[in-house]
Amino acid sequence: MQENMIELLKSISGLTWIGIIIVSILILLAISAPYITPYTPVEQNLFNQHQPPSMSHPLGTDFFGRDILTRVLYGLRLSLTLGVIVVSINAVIGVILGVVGGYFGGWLDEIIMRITDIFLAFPTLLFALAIMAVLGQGFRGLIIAMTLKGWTTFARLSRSEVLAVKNLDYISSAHSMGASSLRIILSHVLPNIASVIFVYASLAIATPILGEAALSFLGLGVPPPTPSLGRLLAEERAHMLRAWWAVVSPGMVIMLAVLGFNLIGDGLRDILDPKVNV
Amino acid sequence: MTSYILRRMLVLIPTLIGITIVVFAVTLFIPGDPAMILLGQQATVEQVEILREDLGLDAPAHIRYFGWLKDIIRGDFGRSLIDRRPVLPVLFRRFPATLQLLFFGVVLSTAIGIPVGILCAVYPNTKLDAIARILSLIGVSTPSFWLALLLLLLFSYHLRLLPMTGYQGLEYLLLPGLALGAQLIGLLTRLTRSTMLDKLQEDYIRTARSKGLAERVVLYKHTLRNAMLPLITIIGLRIGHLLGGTVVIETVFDWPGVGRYAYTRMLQRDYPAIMANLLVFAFFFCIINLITDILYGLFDPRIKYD
Repeated sequence: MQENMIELLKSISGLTWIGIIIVSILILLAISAPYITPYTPVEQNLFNQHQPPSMSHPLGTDFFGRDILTRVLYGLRLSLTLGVIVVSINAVIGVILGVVGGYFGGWLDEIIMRITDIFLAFPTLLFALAIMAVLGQGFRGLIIAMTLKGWTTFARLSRSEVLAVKNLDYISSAHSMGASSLRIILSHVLPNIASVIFVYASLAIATPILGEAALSFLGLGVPPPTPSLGRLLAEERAHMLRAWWAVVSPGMVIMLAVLGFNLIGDGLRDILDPKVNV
Repeated sequence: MTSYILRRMLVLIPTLIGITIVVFAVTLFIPGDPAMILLGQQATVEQVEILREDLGLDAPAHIRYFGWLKDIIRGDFGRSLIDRRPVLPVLFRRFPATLQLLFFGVVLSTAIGIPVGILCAVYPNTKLDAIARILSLIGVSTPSFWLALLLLLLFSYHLRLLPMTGYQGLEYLLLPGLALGAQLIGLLTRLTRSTMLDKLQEDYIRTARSKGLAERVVLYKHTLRNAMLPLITIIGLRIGHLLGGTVVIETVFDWPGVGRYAYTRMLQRDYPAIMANLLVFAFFFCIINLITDILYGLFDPRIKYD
């Protein structure tokens, strides 16, 4: 077991390590936000408008005199939390439907796959915007907006994986020994497709992070004054000619988070299964 | 070929019906009353009632759906709640601007992504390869609207090379096209590199080389043609994604297309306009998908349609 771990660690490439380091630092920063900065993300100070980066405000201040580092850290909290929640929900729903469809086949499979086709036709951002326009701004709305369509890729992926393992000898022999379908799925099929799902999940975290940023940038994400990286960019966009620092750092953090998860996903894919190409 | 296309279009029908069901279902979750939104706070109860009846809001959901579907089939996509004008002509008028942006974004990404990817595959593990891979990773990870702001800041404000907003001419297309296409550039570079590297290992490439064919011929006739298939699929699929991206890009650059229209109507909760927008975008994606499938066949020597 220990040897396996060491083998695994050795096979992780340099770029993947960079991804792991980026993501770990970002998570650490997001968790310890209240201990890092002496400010709160909402306290305004109109005498302190648009201060360039300095010792007391490492990333400068925004139009309302709020500390940008503080707002970025709390925004990052929102991005990461949302990313994990949305991807978990998508994975659970998608894997259940994909496995059921792939394993049992027939009309049930046909219906599930046609539904994923239908959702595929809607551009993700436009669809999420429409849902937000209907439900109104808020955390709950964001989760609904990004899971209504997001599960479909997990369903398609797990279905194709199930089809690949379904006819393997040991699964048919488990069947002939009288094992129930549920038992076969739980103890033989799921463990076989888990690694692929895991790889895709680590890549998929980028989608809700970018999605929340875009929706909040457009004013249909979380309501003010909740700190969000996208809304910070939207608020500062009008003043960016005067205070460039206020638009550079929030976007940079979004980019780093997405880059980190992409690097990890890429690395995992190389180790676990070079065939997954999503 | 024709029979294949016809068959493929028949399969499309259930998907199209499904799309209308999803779009209609979205409106069922609207809190409050569209009639109230339309008339504003000052409206009397009577006025609201009259308008509700006028809009057919009192009928049960399935009756409303079929009524709406009949209108859609006749080409009536509803009237805006804000200005009471039909929505479809507005969409048609604004669609060319979006198509222009979309087309330019795809052409730009293909023109940069595929050649760079080929170079990387031909010279793997060199400095050029490393730089291109890092840049393409950054491209894939950068939020398009942030890139748009940075491009404006750099090229329009500091260097004063390109205009900030506007619509006539190529110089207006450059920044929005680049912001929209950056992710696709990164994606295509990565995918071209990896598929080309895969194909270059195949037996038929070794055979072609040992026959003494020129490296150019091997590269372009044998390898690239086979590597085109996954690239076409990805470009086709990503056009749907880009279409969603136009909403943000058109907003940042004040581009007079359907994306910006969709966005302003969403802020105003103009539900008929939102529904029409969703429908048009989804239908458009289905058409692109159909074209992708047909192109796929043209590029794949193994696929025969009869």
